[in-house]
Amino acid sequence: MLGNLMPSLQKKIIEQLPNRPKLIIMDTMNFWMDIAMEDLLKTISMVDLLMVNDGEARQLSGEYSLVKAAQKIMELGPKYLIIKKGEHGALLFHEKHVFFAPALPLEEVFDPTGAGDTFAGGFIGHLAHTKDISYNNMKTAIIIGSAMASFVVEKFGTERLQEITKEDISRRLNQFVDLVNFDMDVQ
Amino acid sequence: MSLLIAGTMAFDAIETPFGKTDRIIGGSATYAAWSASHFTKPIKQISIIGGDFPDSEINALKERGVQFEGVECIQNEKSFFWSGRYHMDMNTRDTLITDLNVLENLIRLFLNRIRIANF
Repeated sequence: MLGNLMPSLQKKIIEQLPNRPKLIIMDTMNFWMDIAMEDLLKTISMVDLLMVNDGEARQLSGEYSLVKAAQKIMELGPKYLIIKKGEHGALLFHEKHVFFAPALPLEEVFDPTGAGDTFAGGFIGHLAHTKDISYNNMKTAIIIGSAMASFVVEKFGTERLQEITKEDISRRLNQFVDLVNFDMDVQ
Repeated sequence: MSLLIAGTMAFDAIETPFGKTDRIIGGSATYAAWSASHFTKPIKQISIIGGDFPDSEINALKERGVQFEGVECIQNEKSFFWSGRYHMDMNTRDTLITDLNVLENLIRLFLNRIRIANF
């Protein structure tokens, strides 16, 4: 997983790995789109999954519609795209499929620093643990990433990530299930 | 499956409408490693830090299964430092200070000691 760094360096890291990993995930930000677009596009073409926020997806693609933006970005190389929408959750795109993960409505957001990195860590941590990089498992992973991000914003820095237990994470994941679970008969 | 995380390990000073910190531990690879460590180990960390990065933080991450062979420590330099102020929406923010410090050396990062990782 390549956290946000200068794109030329992310590329160098990929090139120096002795064997290509099964899945390469890359995070980036608008700053690099402003000053290093050429390097950024080269690096994006080498990864399997790109993570950006909604503003960055629009800037990168030149499209306002996030569906159109996703298609354009996946044409650059990545087979998967995650668009993070802060307090409104995240979207996972793959081919013509799209999956939505909500963000937990929190009473208080104390410090949003690191929320995207924490999301990415939970996402990739789950994939590595389950040894399954299928699209279906990524749907679970994106919920786990959202749950981890919901913890980190509750205090400054990494404090919450250091103190939470497996039970806390399970309880939080159940809240996510309750948040989107409903019965409906579709005719 | 092994996990490799590359990114910054740094100090942040943060202001939000609800509070303010002095220098606290931050960085993309730090947050990602803490988060991933709840699900998998080992985690091979790739980053660069200065001599000011606290041993206590490194030891805490090691206890969580994070391996530091890929983290270069340059003793006589300072770690990357970012300071920012969040707006009322807690989403947009202004960067107040970016001190690259040791990050300027990142391009020289050695990956020789990193074994194959799946991610």
